[in-house]
Amino acid sequence: MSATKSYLAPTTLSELTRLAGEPGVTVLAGGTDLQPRWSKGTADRPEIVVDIKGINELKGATFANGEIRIGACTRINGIDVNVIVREHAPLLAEAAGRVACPQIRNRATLGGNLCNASPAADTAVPLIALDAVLDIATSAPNGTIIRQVPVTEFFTGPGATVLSPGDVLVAVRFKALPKETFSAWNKFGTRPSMEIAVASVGVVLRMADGKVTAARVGYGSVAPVPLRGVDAEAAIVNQTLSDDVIARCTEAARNEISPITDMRASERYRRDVVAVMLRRMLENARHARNN
Amino acid sequence: MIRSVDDTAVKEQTRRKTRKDSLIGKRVPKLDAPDKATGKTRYLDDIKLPRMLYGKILFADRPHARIVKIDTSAAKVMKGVRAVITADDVELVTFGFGSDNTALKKGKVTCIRDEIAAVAADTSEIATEAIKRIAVTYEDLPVIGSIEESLADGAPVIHEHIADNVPFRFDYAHGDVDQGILESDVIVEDTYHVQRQAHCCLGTSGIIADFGSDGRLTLHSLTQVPFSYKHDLSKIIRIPPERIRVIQPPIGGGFGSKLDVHPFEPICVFLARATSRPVRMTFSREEEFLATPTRQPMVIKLKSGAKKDGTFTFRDVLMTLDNGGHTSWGATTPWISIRTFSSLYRVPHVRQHVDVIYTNNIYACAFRGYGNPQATFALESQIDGLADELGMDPLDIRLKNAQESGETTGQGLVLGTCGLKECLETATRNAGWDVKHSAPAKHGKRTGVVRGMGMASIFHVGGGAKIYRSDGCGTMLKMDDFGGVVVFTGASEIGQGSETVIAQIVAEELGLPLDNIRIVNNDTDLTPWDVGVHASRTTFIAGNSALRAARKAREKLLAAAAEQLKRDADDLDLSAGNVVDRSTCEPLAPIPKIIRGLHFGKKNDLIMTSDYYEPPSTAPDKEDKGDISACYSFGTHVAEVEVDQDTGVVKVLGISAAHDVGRVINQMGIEGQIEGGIAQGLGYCLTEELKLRDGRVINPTFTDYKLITTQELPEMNVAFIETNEPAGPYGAKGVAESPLIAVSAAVANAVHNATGVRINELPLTPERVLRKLQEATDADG
Ligand SMILES: Cc1cc2nc3c(=O)[nH]c(=O)nc-3n(C[C@H](O)[C@H](O)[C@H](O)COP(=O)(O)OP(=O)(O)OC[C@H]3O[C@@H](n4cnc5c(N)ncnc54)[C@H](O)[C@@H]3O)c2cc1C
Repeated sequence: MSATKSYLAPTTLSELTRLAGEPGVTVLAGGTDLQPRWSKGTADRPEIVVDIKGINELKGATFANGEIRIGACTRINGIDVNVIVREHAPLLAEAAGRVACPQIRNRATLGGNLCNASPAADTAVPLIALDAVLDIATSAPNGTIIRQVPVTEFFTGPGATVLSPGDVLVAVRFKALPKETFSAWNKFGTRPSMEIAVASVGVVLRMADGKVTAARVGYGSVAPVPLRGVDAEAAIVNQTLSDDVIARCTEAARNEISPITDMRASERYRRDVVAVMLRRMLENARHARNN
Repeated sequence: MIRSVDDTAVKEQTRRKTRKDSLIGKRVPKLDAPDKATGKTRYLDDIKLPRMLYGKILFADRPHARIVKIDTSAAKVMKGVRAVITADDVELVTFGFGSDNTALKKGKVTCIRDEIAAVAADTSEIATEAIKRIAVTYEDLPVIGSIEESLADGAPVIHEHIADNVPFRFDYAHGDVDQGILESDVIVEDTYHVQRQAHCCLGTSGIIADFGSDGRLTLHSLTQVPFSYKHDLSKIIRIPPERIRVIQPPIGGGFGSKLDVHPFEPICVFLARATSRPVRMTFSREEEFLATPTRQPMVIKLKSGAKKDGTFTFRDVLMTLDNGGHTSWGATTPWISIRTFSSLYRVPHVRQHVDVIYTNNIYACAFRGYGNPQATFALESQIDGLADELGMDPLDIRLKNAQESGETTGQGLVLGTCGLKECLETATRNAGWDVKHSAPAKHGKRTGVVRGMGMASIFHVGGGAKIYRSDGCGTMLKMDDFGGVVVFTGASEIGQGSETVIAQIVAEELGLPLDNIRIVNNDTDLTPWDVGVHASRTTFIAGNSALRAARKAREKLLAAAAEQLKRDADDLDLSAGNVVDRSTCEPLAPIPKIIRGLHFGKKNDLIMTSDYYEPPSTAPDKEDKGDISACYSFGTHVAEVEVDQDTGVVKVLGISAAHDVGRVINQMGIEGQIEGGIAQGLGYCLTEELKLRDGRVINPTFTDYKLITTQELPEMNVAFIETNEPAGPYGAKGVAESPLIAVSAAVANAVHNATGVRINELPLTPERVLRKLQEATDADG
């Protein structure tokens, strides 16, 4: 039987980084991943809980110099309706609005979703498509050091990230999407609502003269980590979105993902729905161009 | 057979129907709703008795194994642990419908949920930790994870006394199927697979066992059959039933899951006995998924035929049922499925054989519909197949074969009132069938989103089911000198709203406001006998019993009033708390005044009445024939769906339902019952499946056991067909199980209508649907 001996609630980032380096510490944000594990006994309760919900520096979304910054401890409920996010990164708003249910979203944080590092984390995929960078803080003798890690390098395996003990995720940053950019995100499960994704896809496309000039594709739940779709991107960059090109792109997607068969879906089905979601998004992009 | 209709009862009915202040058919909020909505309800988990301990069970977690050794020493020495028991510590009595279960297991385990040991401790945390410290040595045996494996040559024997792993077989026949085959112009044959569904009661299982110093046992139990429970449990724990009192705290749903005595219940009694302290045991959600029985998965081979004009000729049914490692009452669910195959629409020749098969899966039990959802999925899917073959509209073929009131089915079920045709016509009309259901789609390349419509009907008992020696229910009623009425009914409330209906009936008869009626229905020391909440029987049977007890009180009250007011009793009536003039409705005296006149006047009498109502039904004969229920309920569901043929997602856009309910008593209650049933039926149809691999449950959480959420609920249009069943209270029939039964077939038929592909397996998950569509496309070439 493990029991938590102390519960600490710092109010500043420097206090937090100092505490986070101590042995036996677990950082607690919304607790929607941690608490069920503790209750069920699938994870031991930590000796020291450091609750980060009282640190204002970690909360809220801001927009400056064409860049959006969202604090790690920002609640997911709110990101979906945040005007900045909706205007400049609508696919993230879409994903945030489909995490779990309102009750869970009301506690769950963006940072928690990323640090938990589930291959199914709904917000990871749009952030891959947005080319986001993560600010990670560590305590140093003369204060706090912050380093930047691209979101594509953040995940190292199911439940694993580049974070070392003592590291804290501070914020997520990405460039606002230019006006004409096409973006989309969707996830797929056995039922439409309240569902851990069986597969998810996010896409950001820049188009000029009927051609795709730049593309970012991300996938969820189809590899050990949320994945960037390098081959799918290559299949459409500098191309017009003809049926053939779209077919080549979805074929590339099928091949570059490495889904598993589990109780939620088979490997084959995951490949099928990734291809369908991607095809529909690209068809919508083409349609949007034509109008 | 024509049932005798009580003439005065009919007159009484018409009189009440016309009365303005009648409560019957009104929208009455459930009596327990305010407490539930405000959080005042005290569930089992909220009850804490002085010195109470917490019980916990160690489950085997091995599907099939010999128990070599159980070492409890490390658990026993833990601080706060008050008792640790295994099969060696108690007298073991076999129980269950197949006499193949014991509270704690000795020798071997036959499914993962088998109970190995139990602990009572000061806190549930200590009990949980103590359980972990019990070391069990097993010798694993080959696991039988499916019906096929169980029936294979040389399959291991699960219970020694059943060498072929088939503990029960049922056979039924009427007419001559060979003759039916000869009479047929078209014949369709298919195999249907239906899955394991969990009840998912909001409240998980639990019990408190509490011995008095006189040795009497009080159980706070969630059973839905308190009287037979006392009887069955008493044999297992060796305490005479008259020394057992069962109190039911508010029950967070039953759906059939609480129809049997479950091993945890005697185990909790053993722990209370071992410690001489009250012990409470409640299941976590995961335990609920792992260690409570489920709806039985079945394989149904069905062959049926029709003449050119659509007349049904025969049905030939072979049903196998995955029973799991022990047997509960659930093994008898085929009895109800037989009634569907024999009696849903007119059919002259029927033959059914059922094998109940042991496996090492967690075992199955009763579940709303009791074998009928499985049967109806197969039968109503195949009726569409026959219609296809004949090029007939699915509505026409059903209307052609639908029975009329007064018919007797091949199994001897007397359909005194039968609203099947009205249900078919109403549900399709409300759904816009003529416009929305076009000929079945013929597809080449299946892609994009398509729409379709399908239907299915329901046949179910509506006036109880005579399976025990009695299908009755008792009521006692007392009126106090202020016009307050306490009704003691044997019928349990498990959330279905029966206490509200009973209160309505009594208030109606006694001309009192609903507020004056209190229902006592949860304590066997106070309440008279009832067979239990099941078979959609409570409104019909307990309702009739309450009605008759109230009528006796009414007569006594009117007689007293006649005497006190010097009027003829026939000229008096009761209304709005008063004795009134029957013809003018003019109030003559407040009811309490008349009662006080009775108490304190010359008579010195009380108004206390009782009634035992036994429905006019007969137990099935040796051939399983006979009029098992006092009446039958019917219904039709029409589903409109949208199928995404690229992903396999089936979206149900609307369900139009029409139910022959005899007569609506509580409009709000019955709407809730129907809508809830449709939701549960949609889960069964689309998403719900407790998945097992080699005897192990792989999705024992709500994350991966997928209920339908409010987001997926379609528009529901519910119509009530009132056939005024003469045997029912005010004409009502039971309807509790019905709304779940036809949903899957209606949706599967709609999917076929949309895509041209028939899917004979549940649930219709996106992946299964997509696979079937792809197979069909491949087969088309
Ligand atoms: C019923 C239910 C449904 C769910 N459905 C979904 C769903 O549909 N989609 C989805 O993506 N997820 C879902 N989740 C998972 C969960 O809600 C999300 O992952 C959520 O965003 C986690 O955030 P949190 O703040 O609650 O994390 P917490 O539980 O507080 O923390 C999660 C992990 O991240 C670490 N952590 C948190 N913040 C930081 C930080 N700033 N720096 C370093 N480490 C940190 C914690 O130590 C912990 O290891 C569901 C969960 C539940 C219980």
